[in-house]
Order: sequence, then structure tokens, then C-alpha cells
Amino acid sequence: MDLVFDLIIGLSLAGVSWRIVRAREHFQAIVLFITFGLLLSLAWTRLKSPDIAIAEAAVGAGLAGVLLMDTLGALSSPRERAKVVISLKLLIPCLFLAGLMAYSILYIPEDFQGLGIVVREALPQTHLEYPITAVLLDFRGYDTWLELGVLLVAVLGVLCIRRTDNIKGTMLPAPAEPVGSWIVKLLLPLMVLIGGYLLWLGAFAPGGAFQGGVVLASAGVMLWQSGHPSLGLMPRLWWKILLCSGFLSFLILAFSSLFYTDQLLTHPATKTWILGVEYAATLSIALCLISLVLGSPARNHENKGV
Amino acid sequence: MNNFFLAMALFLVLNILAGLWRVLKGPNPADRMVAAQLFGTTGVATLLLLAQALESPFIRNAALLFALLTVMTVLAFIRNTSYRLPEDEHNENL
Repeated sequence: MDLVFDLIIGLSLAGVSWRIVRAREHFQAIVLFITFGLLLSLAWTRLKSPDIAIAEAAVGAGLAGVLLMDTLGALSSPRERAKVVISLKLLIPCLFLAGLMAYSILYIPEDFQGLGIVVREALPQTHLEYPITAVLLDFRGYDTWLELGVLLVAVLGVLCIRRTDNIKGTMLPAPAEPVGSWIVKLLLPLMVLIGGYLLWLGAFAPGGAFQGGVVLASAGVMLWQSGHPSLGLMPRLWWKILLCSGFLSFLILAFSSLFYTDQLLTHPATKTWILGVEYAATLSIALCLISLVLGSPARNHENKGV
Repeated sequence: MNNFFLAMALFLVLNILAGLWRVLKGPNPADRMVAAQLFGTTGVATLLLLAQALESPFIRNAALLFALLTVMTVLAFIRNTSYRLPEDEHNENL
């Protein structure tokens, strides 16, 4: 039964992605992409990675659909029929690479445990209870730091394209519709609650800064979608501080650790530090994603009718 | 019992695959959007069944997120279809 389930998920993932490439209409490709996210989330649960399944669910359901719909709204010309030209020059290296990767599976020992054992052994030093949070925020904290930097750079990129230094200035009010303003009252408190819940969960179970941040970002995008003005009322200074808070908290941690040790990013009261950094990172991830969705260029409201 | 849950989850996945037919055929964007919403609901049920089958309770959080956030796409869809999206002709893209 396991094998049948995995096979069907795998084959439908491949089939759906093929249709996404081949779809001759944008809208169909978008809906297929949303379906692809759902199937991918199922695949991650089968691979026993609830963390990634939760992240995929949050990004796929909360933000990807909105971004793609808005992109479609900004495009005016219908897509021309996609011609699939498989270039031999590319096909051969691709097949070679795929063959090499498939071949490498033969070299994984049967009883290979990955780095799980090492991480579990070092876990008590971090005072955290969940290995993935420990890896993300302590053992590989440097990577997470730079990833927050990537998000910040993406927001800066949007500002460059929009030729402005004010991310709020790029926000256009969404048209107020009755359904949106009704549903925001119903769902917004739940979104904030569940965003906080996922963040809190990250200390000892699948969840954490990224998943919580994405849910909070969805809450913000929803607030904007329903035509609510509150996001625009946030002072510009606070907006900037919160955008940088994740990156900044890592920077402060790295800097202050140099006072008592020779190594960057080490900390004595580990759990407090890690949770502090995680909370700052969540806010910063949420606000960066909101800025990216709302500040995307080529939003073209004038072309629309009512 | 776990096999039973997995079989039920498989049945729901097959339902999603059957629903893909509506996505491929269309013809209206609204048809496709409703199919995607149906997938969201089915996906929640599938994830809950998988959480039982794999005895991994935290998968339920993924189901929770799908249940909470699927409506976002519909809101964006409504916002962007104040003008009409072009319909595509039948039987042309299969």
C-alpha cells in the first residue's frame, strides 16, 4: 500500500509539472501549480519531513497563489502556445546528470542515518528540544543569517525596480469588496494565532520562524487584500526596523559574542538568545514577504474595469 | 489500521487526480478555481489521514494551514477577475 501511494504521488507530481510547462493558458498553469504545491506537501509528509510539509502548505496556499494571480492580473497579453523544443545540446547533459544522481543512490549504505545522530548528541548543549530548530538557529546559524539577508536584498531589489526608497509608497490600496472585508474579521485573528502557535511550536516540534513568519505574512496580505488601510498606517521607521530585525538580531549576536570568546555566533544563555533571534526573524520574514507581495512591480490596477 | 488510513488517503488522492480533468478542460477560469478549492479541501482530509497512517501528529498542522490559507487564492482571484479572463476553446490543448 505504501508503495502504491508513493508511486501515485510521484507520477502525478511528474505529470502535473509536465502539464504546467505545456499549459497554453496562464490561468490553467496557475491552478496546476497550486495543485502541484498540495501534492508536494503530501510527498513531504510521506518522506517524514513534517517541517517542510508545513512550510510548503503555508507558502503554497498562502502566498504563491496570490502572487501568481496578481502577476496574471498585471499581464495583458494572453500566452502564446508554448512550443516545447527539446534541444539535444541540453538534453544530453541533463540525462547525464540525472543518471549520475540516480547512480549515486547505490552508494548510500543501507543503514545510513545521515547527520541525525551527531545532531542529537549535540542537542543538550543548545537547551533546545527539537533538532531541526537547533540546526537552523544554532549549528548552522550562519546560513540562516545569510538567508535573512537574501530576503532583505530581495526587498531592496523591489525598491530598486520601483525606483523609490519607500516600500510603503509602492502599496496601492486593494479594492474594498464585501466578501474580503467580512472574511478578514473571521480569519485574521486565527491567522495571527496560528502564526504565533507555529513559532512557539518550533522550540520543541515541527514549526518555527519560517512557517510562523509565512502565516503572519499571509495575514498581512489578507489585510491588504480586503482593502483594510491598517498596514499603510504603520510608521515608516517601524517598517524599516522590522524589515531588518531578523538580520540585525543575528548581527548583534555575532558582535556581542566577540566580547567573551573568539568565535562568532556563540552564546552562553543559549535558549534565550535563540528564541530572541527566532522571534525577531519571524517578524522580519513576515514583513519582508508582505513587502515582496505588495511591492511587486507591474501591478496594474488601471487596466481593470470595476 | 494504518493500512486502512493509507488506503483512504490514496482514494482521496485519486479523487484529486480525477478533479484535475476539470482543471485541464476548463473552460472557465472559475471552473478551474473551484477545482483548486476542492483540492484544498481534499488535501486537508488527505493530510489528516496521513497523520494517522504515519503516526506523525504534526502533519495535522499542515492540514490546519491548508484549511486556513486556501481562501487567500480565491480572494486574489476575485480581485483580479473584475475584468474577464479569456476562455479557451474546448479540446484544443489535450
